[in-house]
Amino acid sequence: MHKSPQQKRLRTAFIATALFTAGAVQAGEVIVDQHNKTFIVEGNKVEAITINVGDTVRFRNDDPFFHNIFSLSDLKTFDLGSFPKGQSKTVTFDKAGMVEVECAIHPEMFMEVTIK
Amino acid sequence: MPNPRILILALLLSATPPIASAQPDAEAQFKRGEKLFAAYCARCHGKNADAEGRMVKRLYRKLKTQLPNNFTLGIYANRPAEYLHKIITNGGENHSMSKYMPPFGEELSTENIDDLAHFIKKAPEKYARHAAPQPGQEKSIT
Repeated sequence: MHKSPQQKRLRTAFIATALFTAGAVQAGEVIVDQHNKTFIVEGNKVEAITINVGDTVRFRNDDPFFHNIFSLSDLKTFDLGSFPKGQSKTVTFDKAGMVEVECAIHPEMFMEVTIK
Repeated sequence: MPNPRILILALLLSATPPIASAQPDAEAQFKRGEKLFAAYCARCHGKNADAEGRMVKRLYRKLKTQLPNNFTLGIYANRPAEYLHKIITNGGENHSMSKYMPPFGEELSTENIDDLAHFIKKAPEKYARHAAPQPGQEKSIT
């Protein structure tokens, strides 16, 4: 069936929107709670998580005292600073590999983030 | 009845601390502070208190941000302990210093922070031999 130029433009616009939306959904957000000086994902204590390239991790302070998040891994070096209960900080991992995350206030807190 | 002079002398002797005890106490406090410093502060301020911690080498120089204080410099011997205590307790941001200096007041006890302040004040004397000129170090002097 022959399509008019207007229909073709509409179809192209629809496909482009669908692809853009799919891309946006693919890069997700993972919530990591800081609770009792440990890292918690969906209620479970974790020392390592695996995420996809482009994903954002939201570190949420669920303790009644300050936490901090930093990493000195070559793949991603950052320091999100210190933040009190109820606040959160995010970091997006845009390369595949492994990143070690630590808390500057609590030396016993560390977690590995594997990005695939 | 006991002789009053002997009684007074005995009381005075029992109230006077041994002269030699002050030095071991200071040394013990320094050791406690050194241990805490290694656990909580060395990642930025360096294990020899010379501002050469791994955070500096791998992140802060890249960010071109304010560098941690170099406690081997003589000026820290004269910093009031209360001033150091406040910064350790409240973090740098609350004292117009680096936002990357965390507040340790909820993690460490008052005694812990006293020990750290004591360590910092003694660091110039103990660690001066490790000191090296730091490019941009003057930025961190408060």
